[in-house]
Amino acid sequence: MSNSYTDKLLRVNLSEGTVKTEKINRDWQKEFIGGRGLATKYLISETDSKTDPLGKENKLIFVTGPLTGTSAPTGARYMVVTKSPLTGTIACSNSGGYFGSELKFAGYDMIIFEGASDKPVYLSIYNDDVVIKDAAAIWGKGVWETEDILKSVEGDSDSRVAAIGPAGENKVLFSCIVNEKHRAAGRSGVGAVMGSKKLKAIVVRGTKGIGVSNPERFFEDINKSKEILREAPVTGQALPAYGTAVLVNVMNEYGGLPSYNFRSSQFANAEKISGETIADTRLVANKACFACTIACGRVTKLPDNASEKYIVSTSSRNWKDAGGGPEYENIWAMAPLCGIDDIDALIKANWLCNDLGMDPISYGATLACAMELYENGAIDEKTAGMNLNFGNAEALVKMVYDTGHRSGFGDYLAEGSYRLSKRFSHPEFFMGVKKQEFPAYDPRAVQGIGLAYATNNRGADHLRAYTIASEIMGIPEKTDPAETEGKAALTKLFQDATGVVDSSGLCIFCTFAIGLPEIVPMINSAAGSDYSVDDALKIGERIWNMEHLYNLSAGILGAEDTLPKRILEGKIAEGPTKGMVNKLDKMLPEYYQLRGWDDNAVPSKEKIEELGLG
Amino acid sequence: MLIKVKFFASLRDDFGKEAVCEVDQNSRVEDLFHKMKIPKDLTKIVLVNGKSIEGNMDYLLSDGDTISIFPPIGGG
Repeated sequence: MSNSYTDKLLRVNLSEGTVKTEKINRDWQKEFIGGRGLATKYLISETDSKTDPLGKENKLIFVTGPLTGTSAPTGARYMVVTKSPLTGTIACSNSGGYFGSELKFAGYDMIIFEGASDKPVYLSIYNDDVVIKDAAAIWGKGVWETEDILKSVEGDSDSRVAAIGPAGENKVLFSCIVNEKHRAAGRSGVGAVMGSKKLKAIVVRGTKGIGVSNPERFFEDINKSKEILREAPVTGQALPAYGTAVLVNVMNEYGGLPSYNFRSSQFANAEKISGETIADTRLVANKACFACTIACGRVTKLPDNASEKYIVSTSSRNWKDAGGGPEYENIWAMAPLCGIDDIDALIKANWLCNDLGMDPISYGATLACAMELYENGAIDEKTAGMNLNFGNAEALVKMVYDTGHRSGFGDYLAEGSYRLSKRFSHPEFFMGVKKQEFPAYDPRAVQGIGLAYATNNRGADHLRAYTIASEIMGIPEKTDPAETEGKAALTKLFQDATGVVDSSGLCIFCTFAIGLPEIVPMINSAAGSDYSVDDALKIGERIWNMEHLYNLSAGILGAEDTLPKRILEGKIAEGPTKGMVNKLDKMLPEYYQLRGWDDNAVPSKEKIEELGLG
Repeated sequence: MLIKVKFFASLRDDFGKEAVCEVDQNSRVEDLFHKMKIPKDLTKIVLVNGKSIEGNMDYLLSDGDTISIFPPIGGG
């Protein structure tokens, strides 16, 4: 019977230069749906959790879900699963655009890269024709030029490219993998793993299409979801009009927009870099990923007199053209967190991150940490190569380039803020969890997101349990951000449900309007499965525990489920959230109890058996 | 009493960026909405001096308060 799985994976051994096609393990597919869950099961089964993330033994898995490439709304996502060089934890980074759907059209649910090549290579996929090719001519080039060259060389402008830039090649610990020039599997350094394998890019073209198990029911299900997404104010109006950047003013007014490396929770000039200002002055158009009805993506353009304002040593011809972003997270990390209010420097730095292949959250946060070290006297101008005072927009743009190329002080920044702060003897300036930098919500002002950060399997991150939806936006129900009560259950529910969304191939943004009661039927009618909502939540719980067990086995223990001292004890100094700290101790024990874990975050035997993870 | 009212996102199309509204003593948020003809169904988040009123339109205003009003928004 036809369904939306291709049931095939590509196994590419870069040491031996071989490509094999294998059947997907059907039992695992059923246990984990696909996507994040399935790829994590493969990684755990095939690698040692203590392996060197940048060694040959680590594997790099690209994976889609059963709804990727279908006409289910937001069914564009692919994920990259590996062991993170930044955190040492499991890494799963998720991207939209058109690459994931094209991979399905070519006939593959997943690609497993193993080993490492001696020389730069890229993988060329045209349906069944899969070849490892020499990448000497594109090694060292930015993502944008790489994509243009590969499309030209492969002779098909409809092909899709996922590539690393110089940052991945140079193993910057927060480098990412970028597709369609501006969409990225962004966090945890998956680009560095790709670089360690000397794999520059994947170019894919597929013409096979995707079937669904029950077409009549599938179209009923997706049309229902599309209607809800269209009618919901967030997905039908706010995100298309302003993108994620609309949150800048919201979080600032509330007093939850961290600035100056979390020394403050508001930014005086937030309006200058807000979603409203970008929409009024820099926005060219919004942009959608494959099958997306929301179109939250931004395309911005610099004014003519601003494009050369911050000169960097790059030959890229793209700086005068329009480019993607910036999104809320990137704006926050590279502007308020660094005390910067120059919108054009921000846009340019964001484009540079995309071209170099670097996570703007971790980059901005690492620069903010460096700025605090500088203002504290731990780094001098000679060491940094320039003044690194908060607010220095020139430093923001220059250091992106230097970090991606590991030149000068950028070599220190390329290690991330955990290692940077330790190197310069101020580990207390690291603002993150499990060696990964925080995203854009102050966990002192919003209690639940603090628990979500602390317990996240991939280190500080908002996309595994986006409790902001409830605590700030009131979706699906409003909870008080200042309260700790109920946040353990909220966090667990969001973590488990997100595992389902990630494994299906949908974008997490669809959940601003639809939930598992709409998503699970779409999975079933596409994939031929018969999951109930409860089944799906159980799968989400299985995925969470599987990732957690991997981390425990890698030596990342419950003691790391914590927050920096500045967040737990350093009261917010002023503004509407003045005096607040995160009360993690009031939430974490209940969270462990709800998870069926002991005080050291070790799952009980019963829980492991219940989830089939024994 | 004078109340500073800040509008965001699509609400700016109809109400501009910010305004100062004079209301009677003991006015509630509801009264201010009525006076400024702000449709409740177009708003989602209402903060008074940065604190969410959590849907309580009877929240009593004080002279010099700042109200921040947002439509439904989302993002990440």
